[in-house]
Amino acid sequence: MNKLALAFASVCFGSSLLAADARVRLATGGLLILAAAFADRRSLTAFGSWKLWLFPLLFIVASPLFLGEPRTSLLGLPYSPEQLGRGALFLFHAYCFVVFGALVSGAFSLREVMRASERLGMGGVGLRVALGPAAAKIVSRMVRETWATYRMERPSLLPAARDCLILFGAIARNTALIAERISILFYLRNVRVGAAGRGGRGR
Amino acid sequence: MHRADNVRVLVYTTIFGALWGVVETLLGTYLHLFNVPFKGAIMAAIGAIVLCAERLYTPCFGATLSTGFIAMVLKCFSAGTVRIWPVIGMGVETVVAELVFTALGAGRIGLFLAPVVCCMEGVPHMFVVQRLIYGEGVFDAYLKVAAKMQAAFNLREDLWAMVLLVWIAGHLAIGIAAGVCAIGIGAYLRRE
Repeated sequence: MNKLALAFASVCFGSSLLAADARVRLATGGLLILAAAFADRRSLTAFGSWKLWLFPLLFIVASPLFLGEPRTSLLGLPYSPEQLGRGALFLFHAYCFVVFGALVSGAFSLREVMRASERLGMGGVGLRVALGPAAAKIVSRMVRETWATYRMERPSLLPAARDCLILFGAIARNTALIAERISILFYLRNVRVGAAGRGGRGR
Repeated sequence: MHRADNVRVLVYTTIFGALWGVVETLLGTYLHLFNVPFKGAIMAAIGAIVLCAERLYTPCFGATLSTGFIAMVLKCFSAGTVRIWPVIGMGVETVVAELVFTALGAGRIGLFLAPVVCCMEGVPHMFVVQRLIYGEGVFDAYLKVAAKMQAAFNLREDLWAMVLLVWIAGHLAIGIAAGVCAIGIGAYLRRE
């Protein structure tokens, strides 16, 4: 059901992107929201960052005052209703975009991504995905320690910025050292990698 | 490829991918917090430098893609759910860097060009994202608003084009700085 709704929502979003006519964009956007309501109701409340909404809101409020033909007045200020409609359409499209993003996000899990990658011939994806977050903790600690040592020797900002190559080089070298140690450990423990081993431990 | 080489490629790409993911999280938080200009280009430059460093250790086709894949997975699932939009830029950068390294190798030219191209990717990326978010007619609207504001403040007619050029030049400058940095790191790592 989710995948079907996602396929339908993708078609709607694509049509909404390509259509020049405002009514077609409204209709396809409405259908997308309807599909999201059936498939994953939580996606309707995923509004994303406030920055995403700042531009269309400002656009709707401000642009009718100085763009287009001012045929009506609002609180004594002349404004263009056509421009207000265009701004509202931008806002609606931004909402459709956010809902579509949330729908896509909800349709895939890490397990599915791993399965798809294995099918595409990317061997050892399971092992990579398991190793990545575990290694991220070690790498994060190493980066913090390298940065602390670097700043201890260069407390002021100017020398710290001037010698940044040393910092980047040290971080890269320390990362390679971690990788080398894990490689040796994997080799000694006969951990199989690639399509044949499917990322599991060898016998 | 020998089994030891397979293990090495898998582990190196994963650990360097984790490094990119960690740097994205640590530095990205600060850059967003202080609203630093060109933060996208700065993050792209640092990601490209990580890809360059990794490619020096495992100079084989697909190594850069694998590194980017792990960084994308870490970024994607860091909040428990898939965050599809932020990783698209990382994916494009990875593909672009892989193409550069495949075509030119991990020599001085490749190391210089990969960060430049990755940073410049931010320029079309911004236009594509704006078009995706706001739909048809958004650029016309921008141009009309810019023209009105220029006229209202009695500014030059082509001011918007100059601002756009400065923005593109900023991306290029960050890319060139990152390219020079990548060459320096490459030389340092080879010495080590």
